[in-house]
Amino acid sequence: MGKYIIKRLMLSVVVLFGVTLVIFLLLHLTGDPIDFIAPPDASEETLQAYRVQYGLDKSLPVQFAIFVRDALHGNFGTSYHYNQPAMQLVLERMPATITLALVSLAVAVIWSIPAGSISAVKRNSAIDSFVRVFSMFGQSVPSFWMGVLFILIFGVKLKWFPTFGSGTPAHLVLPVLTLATHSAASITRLMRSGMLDVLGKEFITACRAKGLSERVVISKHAFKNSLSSVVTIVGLQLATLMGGSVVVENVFAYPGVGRLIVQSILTRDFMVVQAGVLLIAVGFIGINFIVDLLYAVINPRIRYE
Amino acid sequence: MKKHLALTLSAILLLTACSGGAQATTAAPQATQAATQAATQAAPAATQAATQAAAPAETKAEEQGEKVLIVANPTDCKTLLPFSGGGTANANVINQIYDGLTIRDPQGQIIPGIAESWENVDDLTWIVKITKGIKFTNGEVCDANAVKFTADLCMAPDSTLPANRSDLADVLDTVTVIDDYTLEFKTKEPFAGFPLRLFSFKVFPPKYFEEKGQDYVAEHPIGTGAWKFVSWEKDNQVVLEANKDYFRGAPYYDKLILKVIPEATTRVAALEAGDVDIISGVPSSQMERLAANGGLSIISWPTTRTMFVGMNTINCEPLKDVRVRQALNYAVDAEGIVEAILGGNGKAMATVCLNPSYTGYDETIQGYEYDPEKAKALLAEAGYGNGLTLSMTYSPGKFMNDTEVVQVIVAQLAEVGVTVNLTEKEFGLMQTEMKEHTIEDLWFNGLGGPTADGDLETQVGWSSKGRYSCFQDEELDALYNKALTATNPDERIQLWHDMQHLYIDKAPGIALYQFYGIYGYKSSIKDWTPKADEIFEYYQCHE
Repeated sequence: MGKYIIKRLMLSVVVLFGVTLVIFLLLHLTGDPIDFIAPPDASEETLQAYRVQYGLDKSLPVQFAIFVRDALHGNFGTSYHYNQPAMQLVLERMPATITLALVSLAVAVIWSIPAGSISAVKRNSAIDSFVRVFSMFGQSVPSFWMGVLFILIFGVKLKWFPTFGSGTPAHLVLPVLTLATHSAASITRLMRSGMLDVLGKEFITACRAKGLSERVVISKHAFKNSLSSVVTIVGLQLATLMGGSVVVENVFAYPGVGRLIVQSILTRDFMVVQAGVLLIAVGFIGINFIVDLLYAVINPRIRYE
Repeated sequence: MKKHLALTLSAILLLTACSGGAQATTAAPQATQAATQAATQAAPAATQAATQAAAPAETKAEEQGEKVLIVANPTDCKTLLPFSGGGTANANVINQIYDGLTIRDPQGQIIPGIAESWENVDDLTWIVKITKGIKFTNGEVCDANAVKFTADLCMAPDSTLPANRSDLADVLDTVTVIDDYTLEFKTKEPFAGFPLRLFSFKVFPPKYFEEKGQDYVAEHPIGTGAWKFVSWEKDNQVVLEANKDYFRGAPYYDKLILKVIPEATTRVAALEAGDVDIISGVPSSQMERLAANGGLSIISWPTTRTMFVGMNTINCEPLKDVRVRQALNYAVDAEGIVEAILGGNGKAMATVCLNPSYTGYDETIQGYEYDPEKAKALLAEAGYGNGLTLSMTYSPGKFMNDTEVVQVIVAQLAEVGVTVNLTEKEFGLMQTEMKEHTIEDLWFNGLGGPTADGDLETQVGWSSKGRYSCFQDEELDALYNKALTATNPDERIQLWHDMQHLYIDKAPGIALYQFYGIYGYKSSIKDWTPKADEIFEYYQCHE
């Protein structure tokens, strides 16, 4: 097991390096960030002074090397626009994004696992139809539209919840509902199809033949065996949500990481984009690793070495 | 093989991390530095989360008995430090805390701020008198010495104020204190726009700045403004409290909260739900519906921004012919667009810049009236009687109603035989292409802003040395330089009139309209006016 962890760590380093390189190159392809920093009437000397100040006068390979060297010491550069450490800006937004991501995913899971399982067990019943329609709705409806609708109904008309912002649990309700609907749709469908798959297997018939009660058959045998695909998707959803949902953050004026990164891309704030993408990459790698470990927990036959 | 690659890579990176770049001896301090940096970076994140959770509870308690004004704008500021550039977004927050030597009134005219008068005694010299009795919110006196202190900070060769050069150091030569309330400013060249440039000259409290240093001042600003800084949660809100000793009049409200809501629909919903009191950037399509709501007032107000269709006269052959450019102006019905698309919230312009908010604007100067026949005639004369194809681009959503306006323009150009191929582009990319002259033949844009004046817009958009200018004309440059350096006020105004005429003759773009901002607020709020430079004030309004 120890060897496995070390191997994964080494691979993570390679992935992070690759991500850094790609993001660095892509950003520099988008144009000159100085255009977005310097006022439109700045003289050529002023522009050159800015370039020297931000290290943009050096060649690309040198800039990359400097970035990697500094990053390994915890210095991810300074934001061109905020004039503050880039990583600090990203980390400041993380608590809000993490809260939104965890709560949304929790709500999605609390709905999906029971809904998907019941749907599979009571196949083609009224409940099954309802759950399937709901999932289709959740996956097709654009989150922008749903968010605005929630704001208008629950914020303006009914005044049950704040129309925007963050800070109290009440502020979380509408954004969470918007995000959770999408996640729940995917997770429910996977839960359902996973269960149906397992329920059709021979060992389930064997269990029933053994005389086990239906409840035990479903909960102990069918359910546990259908979890692996669900765990995968939950992990992926969590990783995606950690990157911040730009649409929801924009609609609800929720100050998360997604908005910061998109705004930084639009204003060519390279350092912030790099710091943000790196942090999300680390998150992805970490979550995938945990998911893989969970497989071993769910299914004791899986062994890593 | 893969394993070896991974191993080697990790080893290299590990060594780099330990080596610290230069010598091995610096490895230890750098490791500790990395640790402290990581710790300090984690700490603010934790405190941020704590403040975010604590703040709403606090505001709720204080709201009972305290008069709070909540404003929602589309963008947040990026910094609280003056001389950092950043346009309206930064100025809207900074100007609540700091005052400039001069200020713009709601119509955009320059009025006294910390400076009560300024006299142009000769080509390069200005005598500036400071208003007496102004204090910083920490008790320090705001006099000529404070102004000199700030000027020195800005003009120091090693100054780290981000926009010190463009805000001041590029134009100022020397600043001398004559007495406690008088200074002599000498500019490098004759500069008629100097009083407007003083708008960005915000004054720092000298003792506080010297004691704490620039970085601390950037996070804990203290100025002479109507509001005192309390807190800033990025991309969320800035909380300010009233400065009851403000020299232009104490605010009615005890607290001012500037919130950020990027999405227009959400902003409007927040106003309707009563979560905010004043909003900017109301879509014109919502105006009627909101005006019908008895509890809300909706107002539209001219801005310093002028919308136009830019022309790539550098790389597009047909557009190099002035007749073609004039034809395009005849083909587009700017007044019709203002009426039909903007619902009257705009003002058709004769020129591509110099709108009514600028010195030297002449109402009587006529531009191109809507005349498709004349347009066709001019095109035929220029050799395009059989039609012309041009490319056009714009950035949807960047400006209110841009998509509808652009569609009308394309349709009206088609009617005179000009086929337009329209594309959509990210605005940053448009800017880069403008700079490199590789942008499409036509594009939809607007120029304006807090420190924009006739001279700045001309230099930026239409002069030969303008970074984003796709128009190079010696005559325009010459007249612009003359107007810039003219020190006699009457002569200057005449020159700007001439400038307007020249803009019309040269037709460097399709003149469209002056942009009007639309704002909404609770009807119970009185005496709040928007401003032409879109930097709003809240010390006069009350309920």
